Amino acid sequence: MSSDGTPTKRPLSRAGLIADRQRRYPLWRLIHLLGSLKLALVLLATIAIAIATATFTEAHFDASVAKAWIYKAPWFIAWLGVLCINLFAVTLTRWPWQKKHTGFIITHYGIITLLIGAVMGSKLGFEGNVTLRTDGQPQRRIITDRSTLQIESPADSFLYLLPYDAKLTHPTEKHPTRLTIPGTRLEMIINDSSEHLMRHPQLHAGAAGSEAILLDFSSQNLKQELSVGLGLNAKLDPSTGNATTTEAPDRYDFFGLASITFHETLPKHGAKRAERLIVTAGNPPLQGVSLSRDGRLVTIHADADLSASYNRSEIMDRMVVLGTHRIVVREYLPEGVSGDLKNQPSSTTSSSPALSSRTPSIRVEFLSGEDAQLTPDSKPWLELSPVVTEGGNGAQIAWQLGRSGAVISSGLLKSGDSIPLGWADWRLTLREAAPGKSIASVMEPGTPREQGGVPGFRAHLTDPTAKPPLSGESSWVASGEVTPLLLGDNLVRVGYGLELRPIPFSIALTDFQVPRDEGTETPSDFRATVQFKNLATGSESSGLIRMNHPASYPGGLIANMTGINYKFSQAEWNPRDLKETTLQVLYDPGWFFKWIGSLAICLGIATMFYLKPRS
Amino acid sequence: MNRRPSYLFLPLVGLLMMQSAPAWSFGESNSNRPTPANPTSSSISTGLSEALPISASGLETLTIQEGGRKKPYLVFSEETLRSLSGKTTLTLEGSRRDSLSIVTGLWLDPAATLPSWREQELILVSNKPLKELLGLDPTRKLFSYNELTASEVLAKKIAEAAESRRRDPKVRLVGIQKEASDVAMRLGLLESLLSGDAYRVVPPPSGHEWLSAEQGEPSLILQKMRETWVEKDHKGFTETSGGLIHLQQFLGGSVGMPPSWKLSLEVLYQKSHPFRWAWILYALAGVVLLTFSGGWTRAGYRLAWICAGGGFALQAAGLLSRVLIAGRPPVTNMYESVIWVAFGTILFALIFEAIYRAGSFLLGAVPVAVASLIIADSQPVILDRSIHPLTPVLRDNFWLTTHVLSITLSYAAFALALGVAHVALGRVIAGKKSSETIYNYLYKTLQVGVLLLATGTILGGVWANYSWGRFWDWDPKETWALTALLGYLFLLHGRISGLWGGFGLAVGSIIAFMSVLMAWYGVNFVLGAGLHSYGFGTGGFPLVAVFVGLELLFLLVAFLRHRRTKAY
Repeated sequence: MSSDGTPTKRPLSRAGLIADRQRRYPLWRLIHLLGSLKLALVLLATIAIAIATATFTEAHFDASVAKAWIYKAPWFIAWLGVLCINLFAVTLTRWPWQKKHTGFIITHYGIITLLIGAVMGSKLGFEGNVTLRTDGQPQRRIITDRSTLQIESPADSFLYLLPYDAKLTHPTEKHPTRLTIPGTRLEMIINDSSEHLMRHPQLHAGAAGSEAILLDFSSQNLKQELSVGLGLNAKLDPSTGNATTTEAPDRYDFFGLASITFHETLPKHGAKRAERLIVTAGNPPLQGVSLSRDGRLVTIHADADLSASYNRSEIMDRMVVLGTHRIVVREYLPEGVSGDLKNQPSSTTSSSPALSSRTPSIRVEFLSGEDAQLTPDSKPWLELSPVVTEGGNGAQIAWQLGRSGAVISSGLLKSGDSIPLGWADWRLTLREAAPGKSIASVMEPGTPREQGGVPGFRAHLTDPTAKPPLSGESSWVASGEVTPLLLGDNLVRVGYGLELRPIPFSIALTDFQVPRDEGTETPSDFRATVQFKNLATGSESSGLIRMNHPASYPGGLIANMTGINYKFSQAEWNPRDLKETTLQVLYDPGWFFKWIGSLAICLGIATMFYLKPRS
Repeated sequence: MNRRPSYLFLPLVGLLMMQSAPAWSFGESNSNRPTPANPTSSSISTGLSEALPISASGLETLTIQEGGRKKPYLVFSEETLRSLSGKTTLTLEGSRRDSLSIVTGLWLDPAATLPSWREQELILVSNKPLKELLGLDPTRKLFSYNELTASEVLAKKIAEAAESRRRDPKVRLVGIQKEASDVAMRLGLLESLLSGDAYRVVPPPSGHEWLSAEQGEPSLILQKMRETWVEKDHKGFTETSGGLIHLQQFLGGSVGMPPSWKLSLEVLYQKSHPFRWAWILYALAGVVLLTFSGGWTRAGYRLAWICAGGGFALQAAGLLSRVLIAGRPPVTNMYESVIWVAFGTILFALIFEAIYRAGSFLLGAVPVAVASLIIADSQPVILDRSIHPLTPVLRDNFWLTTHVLSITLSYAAFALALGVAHVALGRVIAGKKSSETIYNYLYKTLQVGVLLLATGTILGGVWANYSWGRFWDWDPKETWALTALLGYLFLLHGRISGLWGGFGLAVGSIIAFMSVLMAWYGVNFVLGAGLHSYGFGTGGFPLVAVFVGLELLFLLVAFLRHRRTKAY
């Protein structure tokens, strides 16, 4: 379009006018340059390549890295700004507009409007989430997705907030992040970061009579390691430098699968409280349990008058209580086991094909008598206790492994000894056992084999103005915790984690339902009933949040069209705890521009392609 | 605490049984399993019926609850055998048996078949590395239950997979763990079939969970079915099956049996293979077009229309059946979207043909549609055709219809553009003079795609604003839809600016389709990241890679040919 027209004295044609103004006015030349198709092509191609690259970045690293490097990076935002200029300038180059330009202009302005909405949304709005419980308190704060640093200045005890994400800043010894502590001459130096900070137990001098052990658990198959510290009579230590101390626990829950306890002396267990049986179909009842010939019905004869039959497939791994009998059917062996294996403790492999006597059997855990220790799931346990040795400096630990009320194995351990636990391929190694010690835990990065942990960074205080310059001890600052940093008499408390944002109302969960697909445990919907309470007026209203149907507060057409309200959508649920749900929260003042722009783009393209005025 | 349901329908059961019951005297024990068929004493044994079981066709319309919905037994048996073996027919003991026969055999004769079901090669292990790890013959695909459960390595891998899943229920298993867990699911499926648990055919007195026939009085009918099945008493079996279906309808009346038209429709849909017939007709249309390609003679062109129109009608009927059965638009998984894109490609081609009578639209659409439908038909393990309940976020027919249909229709338009570009470049390669008209057609096809993709992507944002609580967050699926859109915009803008001509437009249509492939297939099957995780799957990568390679080769040839023609 912007070809060099030939000069003419006649009244200018439209093309001539456009060519003419470019010759005469530098501003028009600039507009035509900025609105050129060549620039548009460069923009389209580069943006497409950049975001395509970002998806691979996301697949290899994670979404926040892709955002930091590309989607939310200043250069990308600036490039989108250039796109807006290009889109705007190109509409000017068509001036004076004709009817045929309608679709073209609507589309291009639609894109600009949409991008303006996006900027408004990200600058003025926020996204976050809130976890609610039906038995919990109303919430007045939202967890946003922005990582922040809170610094309490020793000068004025004020809290200073600044956005900071160690993963994206990636501080190192060579390139540390330096932050001045407001109101002081102190600086905080951040020189390392980790995504897997965790507390590791360490032995510390404790009060007399206290006792502590350090245990290492490891599994080859799962490529996992775990350190556990347990203590007796542990006392709270004064906090010193980088080590935070907590009261040492005397029990540890092993992934919810087993329990580990530390005792003064090993508890005694009755030998017959729990028994494992193999009940073979068609045989007379064993401990009152029998199995029908086809292996489908389990009958329990509690006493002469009390017996009941159960569908075997329905009571697998569940405790059935009948009279004084407590039965758990653990395993079904359709092909049975050969005679000599009867009543033997189970091996781990199921239905060994070599032993096909073709009579179905079940493996049953039989629990007799009333005993509080017998839990329905009868988890395996490990119990440990110190052994009093006369004057020996190599402390010993007695251990016993068991399940339900029965001890399976027991023995003694010295530091460095290791035993298999019989829980998958987990092994226990006693790292250290020491009388007169207590357990403290230190926050530090986990080894690659330790799973979990929280993000954080390593920091210390310096005083560059002092002569010679002073430097405090380094500490790992973990997300979600407040960590004290010390330098001389100066104490600076540093908090790190996702920013919490107050909302002008409270939200409480009154009901949460998860309907399922028929005959399955698959959720078909999530229905959260919430109660909003305006903190200023005290007025309350309720809302129902379903999948695809968020609740907004305040509601109303205007608020929903402008997006100047809070929208709560179903985000996460906890299959193991149906009293809890997590909602995504959106406050998006750019929403009006987003949907107006969207509409304009679609209508504009349709007009451009299919509603051309006849020429 | 006896949990067996108590029915009040015993008289009815008796009645039903008496109609066909000479041997209904096995007493009060309902747990006796019939003794294995003894060929020497079998009264009705011809040579053939000794080897082959009787037909189970009487059970086709039996309703069964499985996977969160109620479906005809015929569909259940095909889906079950497909997830077990990846096929719907198998050769067992030298005779070919369909899924209905095998799945019924597993139910009614779980122990009697010799050698046992656990010795039969029923279970699919397709992954080569897993087979190597387990020391299995890499040339075989099917293995027996006993073969697989004997492997300690497999047991260990399955335990690892289970452990990962226990620790994080949302984890996406990959590699050997994923394959091992798939095999574990198949082993578990076979177990649940052999134990009878999988056959939930009895409407419950209360609640939504159907019961297996062993529970309660239907077990009497089941007993009879077993008897007749094992004795190969075809007449008796069909009558007893009918009895079970009647009982089921009687019991289920208030609890919500699916309407019988739905069951019949689904059986018809399952048996008639409308998409297979559709591609055959499309292929015929293509052959006719090529045969008359000198100049579109009127009769030839009309014949092509008839073939394509017939295929289109069949495909539409098939899709409509799915819509009626599932109660939602037919675009909820990869299988459906492949079928739908094939459908959309033909739809747009027919619309353009109706306007321009050009022939090249149909010629371009036919290979795309035929290839898509053949892939959908031949890759049941990668493209799962069974109808499952949807993940909650997708249960919104408004958004499925607007967002997903417009996105997939844009894929269809771009697929048509791909086809038309091939026709155009094919002419270049053949050394024929290329007219501007075909490039104009190409441009018009691309316009349809751009409008639909832009609309669909934006609608996706609006939907996400409601379901996920944000309009746009650079989710990979969103991003690739945008990448594809930008790619096509680049192509169209370059054409407007005169930077490239028709040839460039055709080349661009093929290259840009790779971004559609990435948005459609790649994000779900290759990248495997992001919120559209309900569409994730595995497999098919070699197929796609070969396609991309061939396309690049085709472009290279066309390019060389184009340069030479220009040089003269």
